Amino acid sequence: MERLIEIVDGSPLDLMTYHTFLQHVESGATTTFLGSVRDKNEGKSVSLLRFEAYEALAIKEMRRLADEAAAKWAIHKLVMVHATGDKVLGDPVVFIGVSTKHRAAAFEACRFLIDELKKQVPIWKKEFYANGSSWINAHP
Amino acid sequence: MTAKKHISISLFGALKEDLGGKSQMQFQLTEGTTSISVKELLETLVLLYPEVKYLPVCKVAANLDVVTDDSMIKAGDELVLMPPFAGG
Repeated sequence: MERLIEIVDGSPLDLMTYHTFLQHVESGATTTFLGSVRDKNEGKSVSLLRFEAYEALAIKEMRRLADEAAAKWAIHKLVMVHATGDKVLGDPVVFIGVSTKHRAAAFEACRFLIDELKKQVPIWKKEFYANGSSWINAHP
Repeated sequence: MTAKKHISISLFGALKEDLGGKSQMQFQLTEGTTSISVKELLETLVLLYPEVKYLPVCKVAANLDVVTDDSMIKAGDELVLMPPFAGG
């Protein structure tokens, strides 16, 4: 399995590069998940998200999750990328992608990777509103 | 050479902010001791900083591994305190 795993600090996520990376002649299915900054959370209007990561451990944990996924599903290509720094409404912040022979494995592996990233990878976000800010302490 | 008697602690997210905004702090070991368990260290920090709400629920990493409460931390070790994760 070929993989592209990184934390991107500051610059925009290069979505085209990730989609191109996922192409594989033996893959009939590619599933991707893109997480973006949305305008509201728990009734508050969000203007900005600030992401912070413990990068060395985050990369290590993402590699471990990729290994776990590879043990469960026959994945040809895998992408896990998370942004850090300040992101405004609509900005992409996390990209997960997998290429597999058939679609069922691609859907399942993609779901597994984003769910586990939220639980197990040391990344934090702070929401900014018109009046104040707060660190988010959950991974729904 | 004098033996180190402190543990370096790196902080992230809300913990960094609530503990004064610095990304690192030092924990001084009691005179005569050279190590402490993660549990004891966290309990001591909670007593020192009762207003910091994420201290009781943070995860701890040492040498790029998440460690458990009973892990022993030695003088000179570098720890990372991590509030609940919220990526994505």
